[in-house]
This record gives sequence, structure tokens and C-alpha cells, in this order.
Amino acid sequence: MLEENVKVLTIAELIHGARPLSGTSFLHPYLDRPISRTSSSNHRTPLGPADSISDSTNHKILTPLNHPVVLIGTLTLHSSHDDCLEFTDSSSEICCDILDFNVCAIGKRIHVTAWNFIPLKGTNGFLEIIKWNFPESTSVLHGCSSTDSFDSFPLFQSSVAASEIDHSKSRYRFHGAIESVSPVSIVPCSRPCSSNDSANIRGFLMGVLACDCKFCTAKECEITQECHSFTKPKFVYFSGAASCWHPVATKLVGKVITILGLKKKLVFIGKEESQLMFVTTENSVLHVPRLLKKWSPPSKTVIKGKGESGVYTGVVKGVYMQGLLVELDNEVWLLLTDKLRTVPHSLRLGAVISVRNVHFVNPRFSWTKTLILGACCKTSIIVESFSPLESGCYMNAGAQNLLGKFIESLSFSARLWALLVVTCFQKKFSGILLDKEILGSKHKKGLAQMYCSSHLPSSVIRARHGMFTELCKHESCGCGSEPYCGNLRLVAPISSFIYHCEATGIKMLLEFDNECHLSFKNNRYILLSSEGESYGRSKRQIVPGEDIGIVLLGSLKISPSSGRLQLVDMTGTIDVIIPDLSLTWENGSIFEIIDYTLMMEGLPEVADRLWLPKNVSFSCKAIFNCAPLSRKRNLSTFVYFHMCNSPNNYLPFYPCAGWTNDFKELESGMFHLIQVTHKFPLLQKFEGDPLVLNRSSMFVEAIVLPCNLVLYGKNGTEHPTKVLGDLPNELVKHCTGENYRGYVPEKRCKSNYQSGRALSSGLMDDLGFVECELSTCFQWESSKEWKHTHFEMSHEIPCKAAVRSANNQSLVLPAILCQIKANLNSNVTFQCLTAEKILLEFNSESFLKYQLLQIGGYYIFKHQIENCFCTTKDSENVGNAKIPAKIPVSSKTQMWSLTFSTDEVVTYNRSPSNGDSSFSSHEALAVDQVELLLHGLSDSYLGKSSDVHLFLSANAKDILKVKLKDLEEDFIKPSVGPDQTSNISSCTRTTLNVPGLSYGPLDSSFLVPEGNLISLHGDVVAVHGFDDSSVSEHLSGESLSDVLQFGFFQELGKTFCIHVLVDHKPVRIFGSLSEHVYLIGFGPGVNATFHRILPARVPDSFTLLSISFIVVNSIRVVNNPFIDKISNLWSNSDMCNKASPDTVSSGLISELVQCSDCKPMRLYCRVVSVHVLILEQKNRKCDSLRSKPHSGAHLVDIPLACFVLDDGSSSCYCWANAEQAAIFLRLHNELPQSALENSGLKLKWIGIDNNGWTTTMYHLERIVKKHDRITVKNYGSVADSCYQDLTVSVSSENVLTSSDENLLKFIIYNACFGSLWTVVASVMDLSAVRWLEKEHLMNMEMTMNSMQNICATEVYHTNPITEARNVIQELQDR
Amino acid sequence: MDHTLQNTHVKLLAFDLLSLTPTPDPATFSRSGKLLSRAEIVGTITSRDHKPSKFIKFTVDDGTGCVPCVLWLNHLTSLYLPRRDPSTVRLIAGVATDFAAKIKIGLVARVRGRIASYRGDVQIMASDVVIERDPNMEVLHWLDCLRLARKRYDVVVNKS
Repeated sequence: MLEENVKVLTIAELIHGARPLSGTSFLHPYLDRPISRTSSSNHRTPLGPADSISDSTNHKILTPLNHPVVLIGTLTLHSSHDDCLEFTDSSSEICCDILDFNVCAIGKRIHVTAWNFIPLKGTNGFLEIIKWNFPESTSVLHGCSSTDSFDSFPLFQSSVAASEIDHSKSRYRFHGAIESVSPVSIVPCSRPCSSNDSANIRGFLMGVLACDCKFCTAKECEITQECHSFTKPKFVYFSGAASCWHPVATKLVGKVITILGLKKKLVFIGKEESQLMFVTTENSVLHVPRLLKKWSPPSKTVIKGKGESGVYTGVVKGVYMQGLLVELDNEVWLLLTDKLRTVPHSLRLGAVISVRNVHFVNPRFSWTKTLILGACCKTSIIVESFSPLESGCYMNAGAQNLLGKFIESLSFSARLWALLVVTCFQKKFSGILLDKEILGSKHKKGLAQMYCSSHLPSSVIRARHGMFTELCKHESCGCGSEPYCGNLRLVAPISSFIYHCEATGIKMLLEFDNECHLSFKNNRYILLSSEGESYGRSKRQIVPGEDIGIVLLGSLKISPSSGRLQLVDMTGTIDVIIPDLSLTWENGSIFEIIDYTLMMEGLPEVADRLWLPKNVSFSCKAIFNCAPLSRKRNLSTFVYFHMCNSPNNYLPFYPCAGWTNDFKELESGMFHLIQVTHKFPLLQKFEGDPLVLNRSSMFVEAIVLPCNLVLYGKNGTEHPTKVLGDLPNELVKHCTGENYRGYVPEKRCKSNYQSGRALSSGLMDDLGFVECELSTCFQWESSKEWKHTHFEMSHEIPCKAAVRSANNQSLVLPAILCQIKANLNSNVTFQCLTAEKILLEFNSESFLKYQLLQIGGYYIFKHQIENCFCTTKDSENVGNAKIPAKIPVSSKTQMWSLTFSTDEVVTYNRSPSNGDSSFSSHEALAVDQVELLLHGLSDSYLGKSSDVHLFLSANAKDILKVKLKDLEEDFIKPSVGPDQTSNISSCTRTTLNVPGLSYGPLDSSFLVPEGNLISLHGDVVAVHGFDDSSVSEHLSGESLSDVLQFGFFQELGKTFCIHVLVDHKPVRIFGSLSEHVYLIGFGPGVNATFHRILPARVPDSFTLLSISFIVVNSIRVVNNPFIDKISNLWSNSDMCNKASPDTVSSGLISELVQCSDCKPMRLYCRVVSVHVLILEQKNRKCDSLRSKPHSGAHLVDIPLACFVLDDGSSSCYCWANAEQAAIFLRLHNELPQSALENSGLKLKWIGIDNNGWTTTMYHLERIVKKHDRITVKNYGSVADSCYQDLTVSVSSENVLTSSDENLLKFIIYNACFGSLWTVVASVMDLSAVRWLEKEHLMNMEMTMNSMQNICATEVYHTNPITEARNVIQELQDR
Repeated sequence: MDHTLQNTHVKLLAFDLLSLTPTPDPATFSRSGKLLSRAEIVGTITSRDHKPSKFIKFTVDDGTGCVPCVLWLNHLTSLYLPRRDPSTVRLIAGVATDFAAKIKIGLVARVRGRIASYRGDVQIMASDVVIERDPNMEVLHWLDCLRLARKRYDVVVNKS
């Protein structure tokens, strides 16, 4: 009976309340009310800490009622789509799920003492019955007409009692274990009673295993509970009204049942196959043993993740995509993508579920480690424990669209990938595209589906069949065999990508940091000589996109804040560098970037370490929970790629505007040719400075070449021959010289410079405010009427122009390069005519164009009447200096980059020549470095990267080259004043005067540094920031004044000293590096050109001016610090310690202990024991990056090796690189024959013709090849070779055979039983030791004794005579 | 007493080694206030007594004296050896057998091992024996012994 204080709640009341509730007071009768949060949990398995993101997103625990409440009602079956049981009382009914299910409860009145209520939209809600019982007054067996040990339930509610079964048709009986239950499906069927009337029959299949024994096969026999062996697979089809038993059947999976009153039917599956199965009839009765007998399927083999089926129980950590994707535990993904599959309402966040007959798939994706549980038609989900959280139920989705069908047809790995792609697309383009465009509809494919199908191999697509086929012919349907999908690359939202990269990057850089710390100590550049605070400690990491396994998708835009080019989607932005980005690039196109390089640099701090997730592998959860980055890390991340590397950069199905139009523009017409001579940097605004307030123009200085390019359309009306004959002349006719005047009256002299500030902003402002009123030679008066003929054509060079198109195909057009020469009758000097200097003014809209222009590069402008380029005003003379004409470049101005090459050879691999600015040379790249070349002009993409590529005959090109060279010389000829030209720097580099910086009007007594601006090209070695105090230490008074004079630069940012190696000669450049200067990746390791810097008075010192422009040509980084760690440590100490053995003084280990300086010492010692040793298979990729072949051409790498050496005076730990470790281990020596005998190794000796097999290395290679990475640790004695306790562990799954293990041990013992070594070594820095210990030994749970640590630089066999002489000498000296 | 050399294989000439003072600990000897337990000697093998699977006794003459050495070969049967992984024991036993095979009268050997005392005399319980092919190695060893004695073993560390 119910207790007195227990309240009875009706369902109607519950529904009316419409709020999530938990009535679990009965579970905790002894707890004081109100129930605490934790006590409301009904979990048998307590939830772990809220470590998943979805857990932590404010899911409250269900509100518990603070008094015991009982629901009284009846548990019934109902044939709803939701596949639930129903709980009804007199007031209402509600869907429910029940724990501790007993079939007897069906149709009975029960008391529900502990429950959760979850309101559901559109329905009454959902009841989770946690604890229930039969009312004491009710007999448990009431209504069950059965023998003692069975409960019987007619499958049809109205059916007759079991005893009255009509045996004529439905006389079959089945006794067995339920193996699987299919989802309820609808079969179009014609009813036997009315053959014309066809109807759909609901039903489900039950896969059962029957027993073959005589009791079971007998048609009519008493059901006994004898021991049976359930091995014979059979099927029972629950049709029609019996299908309402589906929720019960699901709960009975794995149990032994009996069904009476079945009929047998031959069911045709497809056209050829048929299957005899039991079908329920109106007379069918389900017998369930009162004591449910559990049956467990025969144990399966080891789950390898290749599609084997089994049972998985876990906690729901997240339900995504309308229940298609359920995350269990941690990154175990349950795929519920089958169309018939219904997600139980009780599968809520926090619930513990058990999934049976699910396929285990390890997708082997490169970007994440995860386990997929693929649900098929056999899979059943049972909720083992309801969620105590207030998480919502998932309503089953209605009709399936094309995308759903598509996803259903994929293999499990591909399915997860496709689902992630769909989610990513939704996240990335949610605001840009409609949901319908992304997901598609019933009849139209969406963007996501198109993307997926274009990337998936056909092998992952499975033919789907009906439920009957899939269940009956399950094995042949492909669920159990998973095709390899590891090469599928994820399209991640940019925010997730950045998050992942930062995590990886910080981890790598922190490790790199430790290493750098070491190398910095050992590697003392004389150049750096501890000048102030080092800015150059910023670490850099380059990771190929291939290793990340993520594809980037987004559109390009210019960041309004930093001015950098960025790849953008709705979730975030990432800086990009595209050396070959076309000037004709348009906003709005979506790019797919597959082949890219990720570069990260920065100064990770301790705080970042704290933030660092434990596992840095990409988590799929991150995609679902992708949120904007919360805080700025001390890490800048950018992506580098070439447009030409991926032929399908543009999404093929996404319309991209711009390209087609561009072609039309380029197809025919006349183009002006310019060469960029300088770019003025973007200046940071001075706060409150009216001169620069609201000004955001950027300026580029260029010369207009006296050449015009005439292009002819492919299908143009004018024939090329006609062009040669007529057009240039016509063109010449129209080039008016009348308006062109070389001598220009002085309109305004703007020389009111007040202070040194003019240096910083004078040029820009002055130019900005000059009102140019003079006309230029490029002024065209009216549309087709060109007036004057003061020019004459000197040369017409016919050529071909290859125009780059969207998909990097070249369109070759006939063209003419016509050179224009001034009429000497004109009162214009030759120089002025040939090299007309202009200033291109870029506004913020056209900022990208500004960025893409390269100093020294050639560009063409289309000649248009309305084009401001052609109608701009002439230059103006200010004082003696001539101010160039200012030409605004808007975002609509069409510009194309241009390169020249000869007809014969396309200049893709042109050998660099120093003289030609467009073919700048590059030093050979060291093998251990990865270099990013940032400029198309200087790399192998030359030609490919330019928009227009002109093919000239070799002869014509030479002429042109000479002309251009002349022009350049003319151009750089001083035009300021003869007194200033005399003071040309002795520097051999190109000198340029300061055309915009008018020194003339300035008071010469004013402390402004004078000189000619020069350009320097070199490798940045270090960048140091320094404050005033440190300045004085390093600069003489004179040059200090230089720097202090430029104190105003410090307003812009900190002043830096940049150390640059120019032709192996160190120089210093002082100045400020404003953050707003477009300088991605600038820092040590870059190759940069410093344009227009001013020589300081100290030799080899220069000053960076506000007009100076830094071009980062390439970025280098030593790749893969993980591998190179020890070898780096090595090479660095090599660098400073490399000395011939003779010059290194000999010593004793005991002396090393006292010696504090890092001088190398020569020791005669023996290996006593090995402390730790890591043997690895050499990574081919890394190998090619390595500068040193460490162990010869062998495949064994020894990234970590520590030996214990003893020379009779003391012992020490000696760390060795791969090369020396191989010597210590005597790997190149012959392996004693006894080794093989001792280790029990049998080899086939015949047929090996060279002596390679006799070396130890040969055998080691063989072992390492099998196991990838082998770690040998000595937990035993370090002083007795024989008492080493060696533990060998391998990284591979292959078992290390005892013979191999013995051989490895033998190699180590053999190393310890050798003669003397001469070792040149130096004491290791404490921090280095600590790092090694922390990095390697702590993970291995190894400790180190208090012995000294040394670093071996050289190891060789002791030459007794030489060494004896040395010792005699030493003994005599003392 | 100075323990700093206890885990080091001291290089001593025979006369020096044979005159070490025993300490109460049978595994430790003392020389000029320094405790020693391991040594390395180089010299010509002058006698050899091989008992297969039991031991090999041999003497090493470095010109200043003859050091008796013993190399145990009973790893597989001895009850006194510390309990170890059987495969390692087999390996060590095999290696020791190889050493034994190499020990031949007249060859110059480098012997390392623990210093022990047998019937009141100092001997070396060899852990490994390396045959030196270059006779100059012996000379270098003499010089090395002198150098070590001068720079290390004879140096009295004043702890104050």
C-alpha cells in the first residue's frame, strides 16, 4: 500500500505542468528534504566530470520534487511512429520508457515511484520510468494464462487464449534467443482477403537463433527450459498489429523467448533470393520465461575497428544533427543515419545507453582519432540509465531529403565524414547561404552534398536494399567490411581549425622553446653579443597541410584592422599569404585550399601551456561546438599557399564572379605599362594628428614605361597583321604631345616643413595635398580622337601574351609591345619623357592591390577614356624636386601583373640573374630548412604567378632589357640637386635618391641624418628591441644621436635593431616595426629586402625610415623539432665546439665535474652501460630535410641515446646523436656470430652476396623496420655492464619476438664490452639536462643519478700511439 | 672514507691493485683513503684454467705484477646470482662463454670487473674481457694509470 504522505499525481497534471521534473524521492527515502542535486541522480554509473563541452553548456539537473510522488497507470503498447511504450491513466496517456522492464507489466496497472518527466513539443511529453512496482493487491500473474514458468502474451490484443490456438495454419512454434530486431518498416502489400485492395503493412523482423535439438524441432511439444544450443539463425516477422511489440522486442534482445502460433512463409528477397521465415498470426502468443534467461552471443574475435559488430555501452555526451550523430563517452560516434531508425526519446544527453549489434569502425582519419559505432538495421539501442540532466528529447525527423539518402548510402567512415562536412558547411556559410542551399531539398542537391560526392571515392558508396535484404543478407550488404577512408580530409570551420592549430602549435613551440633555450646557450653569435631584450625568441613552426589533414574553405578578404589578406568563413578568419594571387581577384568567390602550408609563430607563455588541451588531435566535437576564439594567444597563425597548386581552388559548383569579366577586359585593347619602384608603407595613424587624420591612402611609386602593350582578342575583329600595320601608328598619332610639357611652371612650392616630422609623414601628406593641375602625356581628350603626333614609334615588338585564367589555364593572345619615343622637337628633356614617375594612390578598398604589387614588378593598366589613369594630371615641381603625378587606384581599376620571357623557354625554371630585378636570385636552401617563398617573382612559380606573360623573341627581349635597364638608370639619376649626389654611399648596393623627401628646403643645420637611401637584401638573423639605456651601450654617441633623432618613431612602436646578414656581412638596421606594416612572419630566419633605408654614421648601420619598405622574400624554419631535437642540440654545439681533436685538451671525467665552462674535452673511456636508447625507423620525409645523414644511408635513426661512460676517474652520462650513438653501439661493426646463437636467432645465410648482413646495423634495421620505434631502458646498474636491467618496448602492434629482444640486448651488452673510445665532449648545460629529463625520462619513469651529463661531439676508436704520446706530454708538462 | 670512486672502474697497475687494503666489506677495498670496488687492467694473459660451465681462471701480467682473474661461467646453474630474467641470464652466460673462448695465453687482454679477495689475495672477478690487438694499448694503459693516479687517485680531497 502507498504510504500516507505519498502524493499521487495524474498524467494530466504532469502534462499540464509542462516542465521537466524528476520524481525520485522514493529512491532516497533516508535523505532529508529538499533533495540535494546529487541525490537526484538516478545513475548507476555516475557521470564523469563535465569534461565535454556539451556537458558544460548549462544543462541543469532535472528539478526534483521534494516529496514522494507516485504515478499510477497502465503500461501499454501503442503503434505510434515514435516506437515507444505508453503509460496511461484515467486522465491521459504519455509516451514512456522503462528501466527494469518486465514483459508482465504490459497491460498491467503499475505504480511508478521514481520517474523523470520531459515535456515534448507537440506531444504530451515523455515519461522515464526509473522505478516501478505492481500494486500489492494485484497478482503478478493476473491475466497471464500460462504454465508455472512462463508468462504468455498474445501478440494481438484481441487474440484468443493460447490453449485455443487454431493449429491448422499457425501451428509453428519457435524457441530461441533474440539476436537482433530490425526497425519497424512498412511493406507495400496486397491483402489476401481483398486482392484488389493493397495496403501498407507495418512490421519488423526479428533475427533469432534457434536450437536444433529434437525438442525444439518437434512441432508440438511442451516447451521446456532444458539446455539448448542456439545456433540456427532464423527470422520471425512481426507483421501488422504485432509490430506494436517492437519496443518490447528491442528490450528482449539477447533473451530467450518462445513464440507460439506462427506460420511459415517463403519470403522472396529481391528477385532471386528467398528466405523461409516465421510470420506472426492473429493467434501468435509470446512466451517469456519468468526468469528471463540471458543468452550471450558466441564471443567475437578481437575488435579491430573494421566493421565488426558488438555491444557498446557508454554515456551520451552529445546528440547532434537531429539525433543522427550521438557522441558517447569521449569521441565515440554513434551513427544513427538509417532512415528507419528511430532515436529513443530517452536517448538524452547524460543517459547511459547500450547499443547492440553495432559496427565498430576505426576510420583512420589523419586528422582525428575516433571510434565510429555504425548502426545498421540489426542495431538496437537500450537506455540503461536515464539522464538526470534537463536535456531535451530528440524528435524523429520526418521525410528524408536527398542528402539523407546520400549519407545513408555511404560506408560508416564516409558517413561520419559527410555528416561533419554538412555541419561544417552549415557553420561556415550559415549567414552567406540559405540552409536550403547548403542542405538541399527533396529534389535538389545541396552544396554540402555536391562537395561530398565530388570528394568521395566510389568505393565508399554502398547499394542500399530493403530491410528484409539487409537483415537476412546482412553479411553481404557491406556493413561488416569498411573500405579505407583515411585519406578523406576534413573541411573544418576556420575557428575550429585555428583552435586546433594553436593547440598543436603551442605544444610544438613549447617543445621547440626548450630546445631553443639550449641551442641559444651553445650557439653564440658574435653578432648578437647580448644586446638588450631579444625579440627574436619568437618561435616559428611550419606544418604542411597534408599533415594536418584539414581542407580550408572560405572566401578571401582584407582585414579592415590589420590590412592583411584573410580567408574567412562565418566562424572565423585566418591570415593567408598567396604569392601568386592575381590582381584581378574578386571578392566573394569561395576557395577550397587543399595544398597549403601552415605557419605559426609566437612566444607561447606558461599561461598557454595551462590552456593547452591534453590531447591535441582534432576533435569532431569541436566542429559542433565551434565558437569564436575567446582570447588572443601569443601565437600568430597563417596559411600559405599557391593558387596554381590546386587546379580547382574554386568550388566547381559555386558561381564565381569576376573571372569571366576579367577575360573580356584583357582580350583586346591597349594597356599602359608601369614598373613599381617603391611602395610606401602603411603608416599607423598618429592620434590627434590632423595631417593624417582620416587618411588611409597607400602610395606606390612607379615609373610609366614608354611602352604600351596592345592585346588582341582571340576572336577579335582586328587581325594581328593589321595590328602590326595600322594600330600602333594610329596609337602614336593619338598620343598627344601638345599637352605634355616637360617644363612646368612652378605653381606652388610646398616647402613649409616645420620639423623632423616631415620625415615621417611629409611625403604622404604633401603629396596628398598637392593640387596637381598639370596635364600628363597620358591625357586623352575625347573618345576616339587622339590629337598630336609628337611621338614616333621607335620599336614595335610583336609578341604573344599568355593570359592566366581562373583554372590556371593560359589563354594565348597575339600582342604588340610598342615603344614610344618623344619627338625631340618638343621642349621636353629625354629623361623626363622616358621615365615618367607616378604615384599610385590606393584607398582602403583597393588595399589588396597595394599589397599585391611588388617592387620591381611590371604591371599593365587598361587604357580607357574614363580611366583616371589616362586622364590624370601631370606632375608638379616643388622647389627643385619634381612631385610625381598622383593616380588614384580604386577597387575597380583593372591591373594585371606582367612578366617577360623568351619564346623558346617559359621561364618557370629560369636561372636567377642578379642584375634583373624580376629574376632575383636565391641562395641555395639548406636541406634541413623549409622555406616559404613569399613572392611570385622570385620563385619557381615565375610566369605562372603573373596574370599576363609576354613571350618575346630572345632578340627582342635583350633589346627590351637594355632599354629597361637604361630607363632605370635614367630614373635613378639624381634629380634633386648636384650637391647631394656627390655624397653617394660607398655601399655597392643600388642607391636611390629620395625623390619625395625634399631635403632642399630644410635647414641643413637641423639634425636630420643625410645620405642616400639604399636598398639592402639579406637574411634577418635577429631582431632586438631595446630601450634607451641599452642604446647607449651599443652605439657611439654620434650614431646614438641618429637613433634618438628618430625618437618620434618610437611613438609608433618600440624601436628595434634588426641584424641582417648581407653577403655574409652583418649589418644592423635600426627603426620601428609598426604592427600595421604588412609584414607577416617577419623575424629571424626571413630573407628580406629593406628598401630605402638610410645609412647611419656608424659603419654597417642603417636607419629604417617611415618611407622605408620591408619586403619579406622568404621565411625559413628548421622543420620538425621533434625529430631534430637532439641533433639540433648537437649541431649547435658542433658549431661552437667543433675543433680538431688535437686542439682539444684531454681530460678526465672527474675534471669535467668541476669545470663550469663548456670547453670540449677529450676523454679516453669505455661504455659501461646504456641509460636510455630510442631506435627509430628513419622517416623518409624528415630524412630529406635533414642536413646530415646521421647513420649513413641506413634506415635506423637514434633520436635519443644516453650512455654511461667510465674513464677510470669517474663515470658520467653521455648524450649522443644518432651518428655517435651508432659508433658507441658498434652498429657498423660485424655482429659476432655468437650473438645470433645467443639470442636464438636463426637466419638463412644462403643467397646474401654482400657482407651487409654481417653488420649489427643490418640486423637492427630489420628489427626497427618491424616496430617503427624501439625504446630500450636500463633500470638496473649503471656501473656494472652485466647487471644492466634492460627493458625493450616497441611502438608497433607487432609483438617483439624474444629472439629480436635478445638481439637488441646483445647489441647493448656488446657495446659495453668493447675497447677504449676517444670521446670529444663538453659538459651539458643544467637546463639542457633538465629539459632532457623532463621531456624524455620522466615519461619513461626513469631517474638519473647525480652524475655529470656530457654531450659527445665526436667519438672514435682510440689510436693508442697518438694518445699515449699526448699523455706522456701531459705527464711531462705537469 | 672517500666513496667517489666506488662505482668507477679504476685503472691500476698490478702492483698497485695487489696491494689494496681489504675493508670489512668484502666487496670494497681501500687505497689512500679511497674506497674502490671495480677495476680495469690491461696485460698479457699468462695462465689459463678453464672449467667449462663453471669458471675460467686466468692471470694478467702488466709488467708490474700478475693479477689473478676469474670469469664465472655458471650463470645458468648458480644459485647465488641475483634473480634475473632467464633470457638475459642465458644471454650473459653466452657472452661469458665467448669471453672464455677468447682468453688465450699470450694475448693482451683488457679485463674489467669487481675487485675481490680470494684466500687473502686480491683478484678480479671479471665481468668482461676484451682482447686488445694493438700492443700499444698496453702502453697507453700504463700511461693512463700514471695519469689517473697522479690526477685522481692520489689526490687527497681536503673536505674542510
